[in-house]
Amino acid sequence: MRWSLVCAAAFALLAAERASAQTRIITGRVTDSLTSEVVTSGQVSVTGTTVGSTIKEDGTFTLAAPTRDVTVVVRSIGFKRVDVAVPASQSAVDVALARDYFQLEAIVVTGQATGVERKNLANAVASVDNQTLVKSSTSSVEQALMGKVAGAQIQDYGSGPGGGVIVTLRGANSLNNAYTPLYVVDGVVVSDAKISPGINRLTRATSATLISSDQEYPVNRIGDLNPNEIESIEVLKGASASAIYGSKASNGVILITTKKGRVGTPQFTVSQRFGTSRIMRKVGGRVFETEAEAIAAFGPTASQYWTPTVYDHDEELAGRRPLSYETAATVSGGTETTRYFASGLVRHEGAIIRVEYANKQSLRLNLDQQIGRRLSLNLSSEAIHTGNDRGINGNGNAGVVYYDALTSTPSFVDLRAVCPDGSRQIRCKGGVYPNNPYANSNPLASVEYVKNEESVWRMILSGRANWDVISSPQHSLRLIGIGGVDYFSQKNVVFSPPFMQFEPLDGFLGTSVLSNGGNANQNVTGSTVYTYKPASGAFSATTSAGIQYETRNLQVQRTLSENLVGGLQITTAGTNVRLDEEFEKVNDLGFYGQEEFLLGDRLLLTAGARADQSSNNSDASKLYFYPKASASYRLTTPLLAVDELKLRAAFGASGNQPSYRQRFSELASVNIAGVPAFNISSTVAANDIRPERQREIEVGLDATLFKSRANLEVTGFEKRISDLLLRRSIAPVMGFGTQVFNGGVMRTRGLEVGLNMIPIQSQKVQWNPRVNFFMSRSKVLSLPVPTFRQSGSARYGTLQIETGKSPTQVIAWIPSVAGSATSPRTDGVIGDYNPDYKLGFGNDLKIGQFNVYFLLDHYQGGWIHNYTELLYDFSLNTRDYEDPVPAGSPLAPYGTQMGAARIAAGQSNCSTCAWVQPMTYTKLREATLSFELPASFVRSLWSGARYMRLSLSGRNLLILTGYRGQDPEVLARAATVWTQWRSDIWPHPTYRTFWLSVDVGF
Amino acid sequence: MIRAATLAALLMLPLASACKTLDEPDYFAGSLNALEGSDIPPTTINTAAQAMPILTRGVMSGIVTTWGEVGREGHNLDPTNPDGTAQRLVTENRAIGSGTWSNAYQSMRQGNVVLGAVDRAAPGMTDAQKEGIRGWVKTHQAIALLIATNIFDQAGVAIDVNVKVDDPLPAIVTKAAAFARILQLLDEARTHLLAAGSSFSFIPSAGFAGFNTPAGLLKVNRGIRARVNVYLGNWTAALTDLAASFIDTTAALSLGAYNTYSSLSGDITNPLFDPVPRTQVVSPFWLAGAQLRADGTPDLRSTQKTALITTRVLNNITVDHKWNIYKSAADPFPIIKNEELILLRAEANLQAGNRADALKDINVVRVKSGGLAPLASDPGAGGTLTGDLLIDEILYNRRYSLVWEGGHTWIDWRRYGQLAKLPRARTGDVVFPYAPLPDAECIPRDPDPAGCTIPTPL
Repeated sequence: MRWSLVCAAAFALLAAERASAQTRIITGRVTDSLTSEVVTSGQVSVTGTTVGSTIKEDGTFTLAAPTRDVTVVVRSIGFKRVDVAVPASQSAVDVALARDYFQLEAIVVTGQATGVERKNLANAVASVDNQTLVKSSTSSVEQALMGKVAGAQIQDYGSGPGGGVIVTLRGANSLNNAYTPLYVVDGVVVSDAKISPGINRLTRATSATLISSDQEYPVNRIGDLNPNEIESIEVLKGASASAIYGSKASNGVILITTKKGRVGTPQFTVSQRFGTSRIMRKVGGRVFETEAEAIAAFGPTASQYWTPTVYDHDEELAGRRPLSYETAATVSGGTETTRYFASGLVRHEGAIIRVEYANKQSLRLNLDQQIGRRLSLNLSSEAIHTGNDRGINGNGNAGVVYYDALTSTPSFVDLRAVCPDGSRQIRCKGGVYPNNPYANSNPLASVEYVKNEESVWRMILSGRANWDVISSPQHSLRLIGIGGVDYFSQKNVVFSPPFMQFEPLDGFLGTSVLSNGGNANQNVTGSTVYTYKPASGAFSATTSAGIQYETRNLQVQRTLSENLVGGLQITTAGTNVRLDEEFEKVNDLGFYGQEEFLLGDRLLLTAGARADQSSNNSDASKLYFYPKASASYRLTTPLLAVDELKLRAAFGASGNQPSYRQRFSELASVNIAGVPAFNISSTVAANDIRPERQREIEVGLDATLFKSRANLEVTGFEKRISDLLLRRSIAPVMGFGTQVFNGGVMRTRGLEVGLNMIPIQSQKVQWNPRVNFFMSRSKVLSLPVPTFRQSGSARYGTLQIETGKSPTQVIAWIPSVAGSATSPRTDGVIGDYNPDYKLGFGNDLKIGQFNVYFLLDHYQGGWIHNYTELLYDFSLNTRDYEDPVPAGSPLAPYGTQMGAARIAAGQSNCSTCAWVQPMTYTKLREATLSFELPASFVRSLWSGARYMRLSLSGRNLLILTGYRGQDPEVLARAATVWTQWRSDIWPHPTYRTFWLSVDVGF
Repeated sequence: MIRAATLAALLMLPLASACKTLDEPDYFAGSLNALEGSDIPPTTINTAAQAMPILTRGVMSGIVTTWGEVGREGHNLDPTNPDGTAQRLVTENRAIGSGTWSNAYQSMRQGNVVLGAVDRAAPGMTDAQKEGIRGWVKTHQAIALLIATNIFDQAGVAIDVNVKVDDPLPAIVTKAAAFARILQLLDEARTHLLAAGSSFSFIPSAGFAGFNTPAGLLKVNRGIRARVNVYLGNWTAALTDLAASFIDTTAALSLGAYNTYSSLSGDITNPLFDPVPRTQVVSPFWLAGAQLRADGTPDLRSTQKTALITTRVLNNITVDHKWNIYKSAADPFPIIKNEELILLRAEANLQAGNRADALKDINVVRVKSGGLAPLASDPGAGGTLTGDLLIDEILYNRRYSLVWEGGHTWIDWRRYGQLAKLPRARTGDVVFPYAPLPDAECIPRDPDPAGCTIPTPL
């Protein structure tokens, strides 16, 4: 009924518009007001009509305008919009566009199918464009975002080549459930699954019966994307912005838009990079000056091995300076009706550990096709192949992880291969690696012979159809259909030949693991958007509504084969075979509607709601509602240094879905020597599992200062997360280990500040420093169950979930009398895992043809358990083991030598005196020096060339920290929940990377 | 109108695809609900009952390396967890018994769920079959509770654990109350087994070969009861139980009920199988304490159960022998065996005053197991351990016959108040008398039960 009315009205208007047929031609030329160079892309339109055209690559446009006096609107991405009055008598205009440094006029997504200009936006949505994103070459998109988004905490959890990054937005969103954001690429929800490679049988990080564990540094699959082809990333940080994504949006939503074709002759870009990397901080080991000292630490057998030579095991293992390369090419072009963008990438990242690498090849084709005036089709397609070998790193219990072995290996032992000519080398043809007398493996032999390879083929396809049912100056009705598929298949091969030193440990010689997994996400979305702008232009109202259906289907099969006949790698060669399967199948359905009302380009009011169903809830047919509302108002009258001030407030609710098996109390299928059995799982779930619910209020102000020389964004937020999906450790006397249920309330408050400045802006020199600051504090407001701890003993530090306290408070052993080595210990709060604050400082300085850029990333506060140091200490093998304890050190009461004192402190009553250590660090995350060759020179080389740039860049170049381990940022594992105590256990050594790039456009 | 229709059709497209129900079942495992309704299929109940020995082996295997080390039978020297030894020999903490505690109560939970399900079985399961399951389950529950009581001793254990997850926590009771409950479970099991006919409806694990009928299982049940009664000092009752057990001085000493393993997918291999070894080694004290045979060579148990390895030192502990008890990944280890029953009878007889009968049984083990000469006569009082050389002889034989099978030395020496006399490898090493209750049990309770306090070491 209502629709037909709208349609009827629309047809009437269309008919009216068609009646005025008399036009004239306006031509124009658009330039950059700063450099006077032509602007090569953009749109022009005539106010009050549907007439429009595009700017050609020579900066000109042609417009068929009505014969009367008109106002022509010229816009181009990166520039401020200009309205030019063109009297009926005038047929040519020159337009100079001022740069929009702060992207205030960029369209930011606020709904499933709608967006508003940043200057009106009511939320602090962070946008990162391609230029800011790709400052140096990274394995994954999230690494490229590090330090660039206020409110985002991005950490490597593996540090090996190929990615492995966790992103959290605005602090704690959940106690025990998923905490990483939803990723949407060109409208399609894509998978960020982590599938473990299956090295547990070698490392024994957890129970030896398991083929894989979550402690294997799996790559999170969003790392497959090619950062080079991303046009922009928008980060919806909390429920107030992300509510329209419903029950998967509590952890924020990261919207990725890939590049599109531009009208004009084909434009090519080619970027060639060569790089290398270098170990950043070595763990090192103790140096033994005398044989007696060696015997004292390693027993009488040490005399067999002791030599005065000190072998640098870190250097032998991870001292390589590999060659990496990356070739990225794009081509873009098209006509008014057909536009295309294609890009390709070939990337190889070598690693500091010889066997390791990360490869990526990708091919993208984006097509935009206009069919008539009303229908447009977009196709976005990408095929990706990634591959890696990430060695054997992380937690272990078998002496097989590289650093597991090195922990107990003294520096006087020569681990290098004995070569046929009698020399000792890290690697040589026909070389034989000696068995390691002090551990179950020789890591140099493991590097040589043990494989941990991964290969992923991925296809992300999305198609979008926009049908402008009505398109008039006052009314527009658009139907949008989006369909997408994200499919990947992942294969992992782990192989250890029978002759490895550690292979006899389990009595089965040779280990081969083959894993085949895959995930398919399917999305279908239908939206309608109706916009009404009265002829007066006083306001505009946009109504949108839609429906979204999504399925996710993940499956992994693993085969472990041991006792390999003939040492063959094929799994059928084993006599001892074990199978494992992971399975996840989810269906989600959501409905949404939203109203945006913009009054006089000053006041923006938005209200919307989403309702979601999911098979992950106990009741799959129940709808959960997520409303949102927001308002912003721009004060455009300059006052003192303030050019423009926007006040904004937003409210939104969103959910955090249970995971697939969370709602089940299971009977595991096991057997005892072939007799089948149902074993009650140690996790018991409530029968009404539902999404967590987050309600967020965000208020903020955005100010443009000093005649557009600075832009300040200040945002405060408060989130209340209720119906928490708790995984409570219950008293084991109940016969279960964990209880899963909804309950409790948590609050997270935080502050984000972004300051973006252009102190100098001239044709020759442009200086753009940027600062982002973020802090958050969380508190458990209520808990329906008694205080409980996350796994781990207070001895090593653990997190305690307690009403009225921070969910990330760290509990550890503290002496009951401060500074007393002999007083009894108590379990006390030593601090918080959550950082006090995070600060990013980016600096971009362009002088003539040179551009200098660096990004500092600072993390203040937080605690981590340095398990690596503990293990070296107990092996009497720490680098500083014999160093005297300085006077006044908290360790002083416990002993005179560092190692022995730490052991005494850590075993008696003081965790923080020993291995529980502060994380505070500052990293020089990125630095780039680039040189733009003069255009005339470039053209003299090749007439078709547009530009050529040389640059030298680096990542993670420096770290300043008091932390004694390798890197406080590297986590022991991809923590499955936010409130998981973090340990540094034999992570992959961190490294600096350096790249030399040549970028050419033609 | 056509456009409106197209519009509607477009909107319906995704809707249509969503019209089927969203629900997805658990593809991964069975559901606990299957054991909680009514008319439960007998197959489901039998399959769940078949898990009991899996839980029993879980409780038992976990204690060997920990309490075997505390009892100075061997060491668990793991270069990857180098502070583990310190936790067992230097400073105790609440983590030491947490695995045993959880495993024991998982066994109790599984048993209670199966017992509840039996009462609600669908037609098709006979009363005798139900009684068979009850007898089987309760025997296993008694074993789990017995292991927990041995480990937690003075700290206490919980016994009334058949409660709902959200109910108040069951109280921690004394060791005496726990033993009473263990005896009660064993006796209830006996009654059930006597009414269970001639065979079980479920498949007992291979470790119960020879005892996989109600009558056979009853013999195991009585053997366990004899062990409990010996621990309690109920000597006469112990002798009665032993008479009803499978004790047989003419049979193999290894006759008994076992925890079995396999390398089949879905099963686990024997965690005590450590061929290289990775962690499990022999205490030099245990080796040195072996008596000599007539030809001057040591007790066969000390030579046959161990093998020489290259000397290794970790944390100032020097060792040069590994265990040679579990020779393959699928080797079983005993729940209770004939050799222990004979020694239990010796102890019960001795304490009941029948020293001559005791001597006979001791000699069976000395000769058959150790290759030692039989003791010609009762050695009488004396010695540096208990003051009675015949008791010392029983403790010696238990230490060598039951080594690396369940922390027996530690439990036995504690029974006789001799823990302080266990040898120490390093100055500063101590002996813990029992495990404190685990953190996970203490934190939810307010105030902490007394058992949460870490005991004073000896």
